[in-house]
Amino acid sequence: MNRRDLLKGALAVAGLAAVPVRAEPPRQARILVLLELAGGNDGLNTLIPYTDPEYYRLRPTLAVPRERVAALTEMLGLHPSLGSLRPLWEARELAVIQGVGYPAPNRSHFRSIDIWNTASDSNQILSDGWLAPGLKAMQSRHEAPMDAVVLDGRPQAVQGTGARVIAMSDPEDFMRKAAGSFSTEVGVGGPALGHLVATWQAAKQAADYLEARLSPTGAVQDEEVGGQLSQQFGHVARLIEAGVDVPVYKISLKGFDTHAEQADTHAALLAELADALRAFQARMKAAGRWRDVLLVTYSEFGRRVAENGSRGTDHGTASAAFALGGSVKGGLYGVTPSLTDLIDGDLRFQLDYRSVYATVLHGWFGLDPALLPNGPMPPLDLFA
Amino acid sequence: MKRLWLAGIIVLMSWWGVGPAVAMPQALARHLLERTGFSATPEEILAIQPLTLEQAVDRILDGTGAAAVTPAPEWVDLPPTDVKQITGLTKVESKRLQRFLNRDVGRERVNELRNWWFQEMRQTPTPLTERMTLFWHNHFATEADKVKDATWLYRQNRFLRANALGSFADLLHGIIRDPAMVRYLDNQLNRKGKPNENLARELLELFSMGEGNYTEKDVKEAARALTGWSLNRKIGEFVFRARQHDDGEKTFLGVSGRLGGDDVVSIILKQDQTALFLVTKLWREFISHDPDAAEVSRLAGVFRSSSYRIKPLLRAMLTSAAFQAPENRGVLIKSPVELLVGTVRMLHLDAGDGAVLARLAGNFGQILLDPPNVKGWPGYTDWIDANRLLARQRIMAALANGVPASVGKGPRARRSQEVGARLLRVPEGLYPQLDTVEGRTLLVQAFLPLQPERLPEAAGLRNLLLALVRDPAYQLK
Repeated sequence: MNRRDLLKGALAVAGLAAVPVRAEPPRQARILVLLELAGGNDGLNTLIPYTDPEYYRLRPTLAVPRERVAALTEMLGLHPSLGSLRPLWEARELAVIQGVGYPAPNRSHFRSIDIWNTASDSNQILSDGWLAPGLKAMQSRHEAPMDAVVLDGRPQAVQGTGARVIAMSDPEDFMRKAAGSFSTEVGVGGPALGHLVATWQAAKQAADYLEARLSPTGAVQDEEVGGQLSQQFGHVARLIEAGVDVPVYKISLKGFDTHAEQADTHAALLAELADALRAFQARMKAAGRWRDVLLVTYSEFGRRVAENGSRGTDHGTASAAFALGGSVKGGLYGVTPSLTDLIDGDLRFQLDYRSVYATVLHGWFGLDPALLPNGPMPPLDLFA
Repeated sequence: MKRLWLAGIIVLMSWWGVGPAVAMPQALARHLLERTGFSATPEEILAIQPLTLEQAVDRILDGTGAAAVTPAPEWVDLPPTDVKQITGLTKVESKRLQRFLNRDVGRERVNELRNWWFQEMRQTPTPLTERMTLFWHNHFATEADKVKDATWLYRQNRFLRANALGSFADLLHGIIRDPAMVRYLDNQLNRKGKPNENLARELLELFSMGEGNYTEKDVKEAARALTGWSLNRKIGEFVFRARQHDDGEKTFLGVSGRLGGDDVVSIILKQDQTALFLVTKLWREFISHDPDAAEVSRLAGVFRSSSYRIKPLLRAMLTSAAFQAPENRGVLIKSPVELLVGTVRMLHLDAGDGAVLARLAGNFGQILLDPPNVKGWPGYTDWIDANRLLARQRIMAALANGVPASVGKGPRARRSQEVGARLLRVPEGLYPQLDTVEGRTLLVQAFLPLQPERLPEAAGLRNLLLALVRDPAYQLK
């Protein structure tokens, strides 16, 4: 039995629908906004099993009281801070994917985020971002001279051989900075100089492309390292509205490493997330692009089921992920992890995170899911 | 005929390394200065050029210091405020005061500490001391964001500087009891029966041997050995809590015994891999991005046989063939700190209290004292993406064209605009003695590690300088 047969079998066993084969790649109108929740988002307080007594027993101070949970189903609901996403759920444009993780999970921040960014196995070290081969494959489909725009200074998921990634914190500021010049009297030099010159040229090309599409307003925000989520979303929205033809945007929200006094911090972060998502959705709908946009969240790990001695949680394993967009088939995906059948106090993952990636590569962009470094994974039937 | 013989003998003697030695080529002199400092000013180049490379390296190494010359902020020696000692406050007021002290004062002090360090880098008579302190800061990385207490960070910085050119063995033994590091890697939570592996893991993975040279079991045993290595948080000092220490039998890297933290470090120092790991990192700091395996092995031998003293290692590295090799000029990328401090030194800019440099370095991707994670700043091409490169280039252009139009609104933006304007004002009359053909050649040599195909056409010396800092090669070293 070869790997493909094994996969087909796995697909059938997992009860996931067979993914229809696309006859030709779609015109590149489709956009992915990849949102990193940095620090390790506590999935258990995000998607809450509010009828499970274990939840309340293991989290005496952190469990969200049942009456405050924004119920989605009879057993699961969202943290109250995400209550404003209910309309999205009711419109069936919000997918919540449960128990996402991977075998032999790593609990070190930077090791685990490397894993998520490169779609590697737990004991593997890879250097290319998981989207890089897909970005390369899509180059002929779109006009823009860049394949991904990174607004949070964290490009690992998209950068790699052949992918043209442009980092910026503010398109307005970016265009202004690029108006300057670098002397081109460059003599002979090594790879460092080559990298510099190549980056410069790519930046100029990107800036020229943006200039032609954006009408500069001259309004620039205070230059900050790592802007707020709503600012990042604002920039993404502006670029999409202007018809910028880039398939992937990368943004992030930091602060999820809640080892102590988690309640308020987590509530504030999720509120910020919900507000930013709703504002973004509104703009995309107004621009008529909501059906072309897919937003996916990810985080380096979830957190432990039992709270710790400091009213917080320590690094855990599996967590819930969100996928939203006008073409998303909303609803609950995956299997709810058990709170009693734990490994060492941690949730057992139910869905390998690379299935989510395969869903993006194949289901959304129509690419070959074998572009993942360890081969294809069964994708979810996520799109209407 | 006699003169020819004499000349021939002198040449032979120089070749054999005896007798009247040959001065360094100018390019090598500037290479040595920039690689061991922040810049290579014309004066510095001319001062060391008559020396041999060995003599110049010795002079630089002998000149290093163990303490900063810039007076530290006054609060570093003050004991921490114990809010409970303040009478007459309600519980709410007390809590609020504590939070204000921790958060607002705390943050302000971290900023001051950062600024102080930039001042030191600007003013130090021994740039190599600061370069090595920066290296160790990046190697034994902690984040101000988590450690929070500026006094602890100051003491760590002082410890790193005191040992920067000393012994790596002292650094490794010392860092496991450094309060900022203990706090950063949660070792105060590492207790008998409730192990926290964070410090043990990073000690092996990042600070000494690198992945693949030990097992998970070794990490667990090292964590056991480090139990009880804790803090007195009130006074910010290391404290060994015997009751929290797992005193049982352990086996770490094949050595058994009732091992403690120092034992673990001693065992690590006996492993060949440790010197290889460190030398590889230092190669990437000083020589090139692609270490030569055989040379690394040789230099690791030097490091080990000198009992991990850093000066003999640096001496061997900086006089090596690889360091001198012309193909290794301009192959490294200046960090934001190096770029900014170097430019201030070369162009005699007014950096004030250092705050503007700290802000710009942050914009370029390096918030001093706050690396992205325990791995530190990856460096090399990581410093250069579109955003960061444009940010660097914009400042270089602003030196010539003045400060760009207001990039923000409000009083904070205006203030930072003023401070920026002061920094970016290049003084008149720089290097008046170099306004000659030879002088200009020396200046181009001083500013750029790679010589341009032809000298930039610039009317006036000042315009030449401004053109040089806008050359892509100026970003390299």
